[in-house]
Amino acid sequence: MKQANFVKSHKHYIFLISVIMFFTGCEAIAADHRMQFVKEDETGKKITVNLRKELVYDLMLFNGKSFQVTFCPEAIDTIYMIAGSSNVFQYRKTNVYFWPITKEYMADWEPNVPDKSNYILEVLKGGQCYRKILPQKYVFEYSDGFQTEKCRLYTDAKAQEIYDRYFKKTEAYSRTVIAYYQAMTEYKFKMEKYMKQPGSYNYIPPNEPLAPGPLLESVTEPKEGFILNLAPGKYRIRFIDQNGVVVKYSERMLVAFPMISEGVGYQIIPEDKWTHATTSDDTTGNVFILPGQTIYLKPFRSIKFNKHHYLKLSKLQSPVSGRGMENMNLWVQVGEIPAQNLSLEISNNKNNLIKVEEKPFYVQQRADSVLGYDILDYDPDRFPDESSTFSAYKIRINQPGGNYRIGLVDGQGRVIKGSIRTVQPMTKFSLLTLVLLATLPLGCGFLVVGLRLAATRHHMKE
Amino acid sequence: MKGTAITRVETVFILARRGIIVSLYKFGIYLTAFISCLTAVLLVSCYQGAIRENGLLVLNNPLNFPLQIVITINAVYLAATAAMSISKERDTGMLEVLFYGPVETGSYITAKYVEQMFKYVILLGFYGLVFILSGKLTNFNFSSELFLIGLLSLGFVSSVISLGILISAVTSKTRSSFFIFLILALVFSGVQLLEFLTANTDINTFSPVFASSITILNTIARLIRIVSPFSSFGWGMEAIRDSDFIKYFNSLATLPIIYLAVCLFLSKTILDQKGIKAN
Repeated sequence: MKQANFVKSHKHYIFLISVIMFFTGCEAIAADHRMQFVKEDETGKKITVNLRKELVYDLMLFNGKSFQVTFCPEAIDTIYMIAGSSNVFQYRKTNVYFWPITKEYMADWEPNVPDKSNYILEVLKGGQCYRKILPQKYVFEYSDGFQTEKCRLYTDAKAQEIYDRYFKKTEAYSRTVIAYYQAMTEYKFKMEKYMKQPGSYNYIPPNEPLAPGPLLESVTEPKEGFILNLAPGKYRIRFIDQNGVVVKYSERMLVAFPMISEGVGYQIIPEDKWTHATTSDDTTGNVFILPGQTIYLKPFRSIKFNKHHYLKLSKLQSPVSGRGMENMNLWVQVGEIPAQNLSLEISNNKNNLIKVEEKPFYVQQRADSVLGYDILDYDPDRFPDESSTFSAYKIRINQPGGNYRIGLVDGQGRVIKGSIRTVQPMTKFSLLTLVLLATLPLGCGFLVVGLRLAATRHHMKE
Repeated sequence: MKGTAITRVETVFILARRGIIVSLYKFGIYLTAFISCLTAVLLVSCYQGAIRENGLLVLNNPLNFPLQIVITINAVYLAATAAMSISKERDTGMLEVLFYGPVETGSYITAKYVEQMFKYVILLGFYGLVFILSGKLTNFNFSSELFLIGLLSLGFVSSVISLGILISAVTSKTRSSFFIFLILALVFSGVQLLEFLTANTDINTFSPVFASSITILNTIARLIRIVSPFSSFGWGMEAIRDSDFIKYFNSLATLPIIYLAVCLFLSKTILDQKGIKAN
């Protein structure tokens, strides 16, 4: 009886304590999936992070020029990719933590335990199943090496063919390298003998074997992944198992965004600041220079994307990437335009035309105590052991004022779309002239008010 | 009915003409024009300095930004003038005198709007000459984009003036009208400017508190865009940049006309309810 009265009189407190214990219990259960880990930042400062085992999307997304490696943890609900391009999706179960220094999620890819689950990637549009994608074999081919961004994706049988071809190349290259080392050993032995007894070689030193050039081409090992190529739009993606059951925490929104426009961008290098190049992304990016200024133009193929979507693609693991940029666009340079059959046409107001060809240039540091460098026409005979620093179209306009139109033209004289720019050399003008122009309304004001005052006084006198 | 309509139109033009002549005899409009031109000239000289410093500059047109600043200064000036005008005339009792005549609320408010817009058209014509001359002197050409911006500014200034008239109709005192308009203008333009500035910076470089503030700022900016006349100008500039004719037309005409209609209707209604007698 006493206990019943106690409960009745303290029922509110008992309810509150029960609720607190319930959520504490939930938290304890949730905490089982989280581990605390201590990581060091670049300065050696120790930071405690919460590791959580999650199913993440391991992504290799095409960014216009190569493939961007990123991943999508559970906390990020939308993936962005370029429409009409092939992208690689994989799933991994790994530890994920939020790194507060760079404000992004990081994945603890080690240890890499391969997942044996056979999932299917389901793509939904408007609530309906749009496509079901099975894993495919894929490789990435870097024709100029890993360091460059030039990369191509191959899938299925073609992937295996490319990889087999690359494997044979590496084997042949290995044999060449082994042969070179053997030749080198023989050469060293002969050289030692020549140094001791030059007469035995008729006083002709043995020839040093030529080292084989580096094998630039590289192909990744064939792996399995889900290749996604979608038209522009919003989709939902998720993994389903063989029984059609949706894999928990695998559902994400997917935005396939299109390219807005394509054009020609220029990297503009001023002669006196060649390390500080500027870019002119589209036809509105006109160039204003000093008279007599020499500039070098390198044309690039450029593509315009929505800035928010593109930044999300590039850095999906950062929740704040692209924030506030939904209405902005971004030009991305996707590759150099080769100079074959192209020339840069320059015309002025009087339609006088000059054609400039692309040339290689060499940047030579000045050897004396005077700091600086010179940009010279590259000549292999003049610089036998050096390669050119860059290739570009050289422009120099000596006259101040005027309007010059530049554009890339092909062998038939057709202007390359998006390559037109205006180059305007500045005129010398005095700031005082402009300030005097600005004071015109002030002068008018004084005149009008003065006349009005004079008229009023005259009227009052009358 | 037709006679009444003609009388109203005549009343509007008489009142507007009176207001314009009074403004032209005062120093304020000339001082505003001088400040605007001086600001534009200083900005142009900054661009010249940048070209000298870096050897080159890549821009659409160095005259675009100075023109936008000039337009904003004049929009704020004209709207502030409009914001003070009705409450001032009510304070001095002039409104009561006017309304004893053939002036009714709708004509009066329309006349205020027409007066400010006409002043702006005169100023815009003058700035056009200044910019053409500046363009010739500096070789920063007066391009077709400047013309589009000038045209777009008519819609923007119309919206700002109608907001000023609404504030003037709501408040009783001249000083209150001025300060309320100034605060609103600062809040609207300030929030948009901050949003633009922070959108172009890497949020990862900010502290968590600052980053959260930016999130709140973005939310406030989205709400303010609905009522701010400055936002349609921003959209119009984006439309010019992206060569989006439909967006440009909406920023130039559709949105300002809706804004104008709502503001003038509210002004008339409030003025009818509050009355025209001085407090």
